[in-house]
Amino acid sequence: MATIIVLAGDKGGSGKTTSSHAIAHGLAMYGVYAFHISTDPRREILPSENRRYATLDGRDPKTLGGIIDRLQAMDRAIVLIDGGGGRPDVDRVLSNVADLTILPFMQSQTDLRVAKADLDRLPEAVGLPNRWPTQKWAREVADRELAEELRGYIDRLMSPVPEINGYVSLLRDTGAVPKINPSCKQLGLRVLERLGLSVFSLATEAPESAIA
Amino acid sequence: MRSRKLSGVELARQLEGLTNPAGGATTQAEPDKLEPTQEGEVQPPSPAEAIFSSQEAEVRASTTQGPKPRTSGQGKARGGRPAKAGTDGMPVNVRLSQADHLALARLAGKLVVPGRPMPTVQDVVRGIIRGALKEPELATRFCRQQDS
Repeated sequence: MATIIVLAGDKGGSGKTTSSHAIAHGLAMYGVYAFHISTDPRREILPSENRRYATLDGRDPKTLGGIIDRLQAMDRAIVLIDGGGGRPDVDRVLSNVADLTILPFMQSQTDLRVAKADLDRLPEAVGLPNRWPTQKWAREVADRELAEELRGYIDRLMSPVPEINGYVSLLRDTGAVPKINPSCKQLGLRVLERLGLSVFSLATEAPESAIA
Repeated sequence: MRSRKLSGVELARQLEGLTNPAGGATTQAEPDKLEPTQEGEVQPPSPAEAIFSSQEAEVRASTTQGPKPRTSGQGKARGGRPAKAGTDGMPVNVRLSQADHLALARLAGKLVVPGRPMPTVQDVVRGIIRGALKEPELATRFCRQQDS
């Protein structure tokens, strides 16, 4: 049975689409069959060419249902569903099909408050601090704000993903630039660990293509 | 990991049951509550279709328009030193012989003013043209001599 991961969150621009592509790309680098489904009607579907994973159009509910049914029958596959922002009801329904729901959020106070509301709404979801600062003092400030706003949710937060130059290439037709491969692989592994899985249980091909 | 997940069919049913699955601002009426339409009547598009059609129209409009006219560098000052050929100056590609190049370079050497930048071949050509415009008969004679 395929493992389904939903990237959700009420606030737009928090990195749902980019993170979902990054995870799919990172896992595909390890030889995992990865599928990316976009459900956001405001976004166009990126072509599968120049990618190691398939991009699918799930903007229509019936089509999405059909895709999920077909993919659920597949073993050793990872399905990333990009929820799209501003649709809390859709997020709730999508989380019912997911093995893991990830709520990316950034450092801003608005993001932290929306993430808190999302974590309350989706009790099985985990938060992913995204584009987290790496500079020492900025990191300290961000960590302090996070600890204040999400005090009771620390166990439901993943380790932060730093700002990665080149992530934007994931959303281009030409595909990801090679320099982001290690970051994507690391993120993919982190997500698998959260699911209690490993690449050894999912990889379907020789890991030679996983060499960054 | 969750033990019980929705199937795709259940997921589709629940998403369709939402008032606003596509994320638009309007609410859709349920299909069975819609009144039968007159023959030939055009149904209004769903919010998602409306978004797609407007996006398509934008893309189509942007692709059907011709290339944008180039505006940079023409008719406007770009800062720095003022253009010697004026703000509307345009380059002209003139093929010159080695001897002509040498003559222009010699003229440029004669025009050197201590403390000022070295005149370029362009400065010399501009000077010749501007001088010729002041004495058109002389310039015409020079050109005729060159032809003959």
